[in-house]
Amino acid sequence: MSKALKGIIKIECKIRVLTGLHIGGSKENVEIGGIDNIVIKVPVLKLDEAIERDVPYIPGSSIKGKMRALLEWVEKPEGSMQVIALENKGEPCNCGRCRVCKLFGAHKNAKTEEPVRLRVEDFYPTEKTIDMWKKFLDGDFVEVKVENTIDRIKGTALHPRHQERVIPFSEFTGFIKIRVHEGDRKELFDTIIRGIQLLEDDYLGGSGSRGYGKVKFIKEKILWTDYRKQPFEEKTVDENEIANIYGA
Amino acid sequence: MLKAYKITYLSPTSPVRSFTIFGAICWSYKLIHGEKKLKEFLSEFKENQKFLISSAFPYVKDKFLFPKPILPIKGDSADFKVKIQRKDYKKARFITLEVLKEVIDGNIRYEEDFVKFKSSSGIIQSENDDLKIEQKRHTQVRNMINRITNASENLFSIESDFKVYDEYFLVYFIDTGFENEFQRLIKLAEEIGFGGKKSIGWGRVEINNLDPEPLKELIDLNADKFITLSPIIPTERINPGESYYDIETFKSYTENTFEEEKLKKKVLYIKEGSVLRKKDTIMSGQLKEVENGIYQYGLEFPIGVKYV
Ligand SMILES: [Zn+2]
Repeated sequence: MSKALKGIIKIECKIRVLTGLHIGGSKENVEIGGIDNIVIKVPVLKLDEAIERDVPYIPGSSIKGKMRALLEWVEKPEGSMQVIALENKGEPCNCGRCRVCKLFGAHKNAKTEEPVRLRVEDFYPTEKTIDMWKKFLDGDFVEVKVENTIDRIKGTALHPRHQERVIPFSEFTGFIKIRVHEGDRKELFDTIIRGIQLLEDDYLGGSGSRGYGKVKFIKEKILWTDYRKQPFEEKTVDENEIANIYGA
Repeated sequence: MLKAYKITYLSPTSPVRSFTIFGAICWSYKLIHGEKKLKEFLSEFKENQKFLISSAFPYVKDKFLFPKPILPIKGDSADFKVKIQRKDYKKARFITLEVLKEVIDGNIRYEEDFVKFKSSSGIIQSENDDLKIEQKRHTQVRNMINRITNASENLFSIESDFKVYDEYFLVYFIDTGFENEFQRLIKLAEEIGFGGKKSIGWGRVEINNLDPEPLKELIDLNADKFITLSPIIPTERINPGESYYDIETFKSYTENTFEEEKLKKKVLYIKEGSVLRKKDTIMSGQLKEVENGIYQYGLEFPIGVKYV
């Protein structure tokens, strides 16, 4: 790894949940009669004044994983005509040189000289959202939906499934961080923006085919920290300045 | 000059010890200045230390906690009541500043002497204190999305302990001119994440400055009798016959954020909280080159004491 780091671009985002969101927190049904699908929760969330416990959040790894999977349907590995998803028969790219590998890292420790550029932080609910949950969900943070399969002949419900979900209009905040190394080009930043758009057109979390997980990313601001400067300098930039950062 | 930093944990993390922090600093250095400069920095540091780093310990209700010093036991000569009580004190891992001062002054010289304070939540503290350290079990589910079928594959979960309390670590600048640079390096380390498993979201921390005033007098680089707040890779300057210590062997991976990780050679450490006597007042730990160009941090962070 020889390419020096110039700095880090941080996109401060809000994720607005448009249709109930389910990001699973348990591998199997916990107990018979329990909730089948549990939403992932952070044990402790420190807010300005208070501490809340077992609060739903969106893990950065879920966002990153989904974004990568979607990008692999549009991005091609180095020297290939076919998109990564088809080229690799459903497995993530491991060429170590394409935009996806540069941003997300090559899959399965393939030999690469490229540093990983992307870090997606966990997204936590805003205080306003927590207040909304408390108000609408009787002090709970999630809604429990009972989903039935109807027996077509008898007209009765079979095997009701209990599903926890984060309700629409909930908002989560967090950072998408992109490291800019010497020699990097703005196309890496653009790829992330494209990944965000693809994610908005698809869904996050489980049960997407049943309409869950529609989200919208709202870019609040973009921060640029230049680590070549001493003392380092962090400033707000607009999207037009990104090209200058990459030195296009 | 002494500096204190507070770590707030925003995700699970691997334990933050002096060598974890030093490793993070080195990575930041390499990212900013390049590999060649890092090598120069390390070989210079090996001879002339610019700073010393402690491991991270709990910072609860604005109080600094310290590792429980390893003291000799009276054993059979202790009175019966004290012997029964010993168990709780043996299990404790931390002490408050108030208790530490008693150790420094020699009012507490044996493990049994701790009984004049109370032991609760693994902390030896005064009756009026009510300090607790709380951890929460956290489960993360991991999977891979099959690009073709859109299905989740290889579902598995990872359990971890999520620290509900804050921690602090100390840095003593021998070269005070290095402080600004350190601030920049630590800021970058914070952006990248601390410790292992960063690719699955571990190591999210927030680092803020703390007032080191209450601890200023404690750090004594010239003390020949001291409690260490960082694990030490020992040199022959330590007098083992007159010291009380725990040892551990440690094998770690190199940082894997940017490159394939490598397993480092095993090193022997004297643990935090050991009470040591040096043969002279020269540094008794070392920055050890474990492989060509790969160093392991093992310098002491000494709190001077009157007795060992
Ligand atoms: Zn690739």
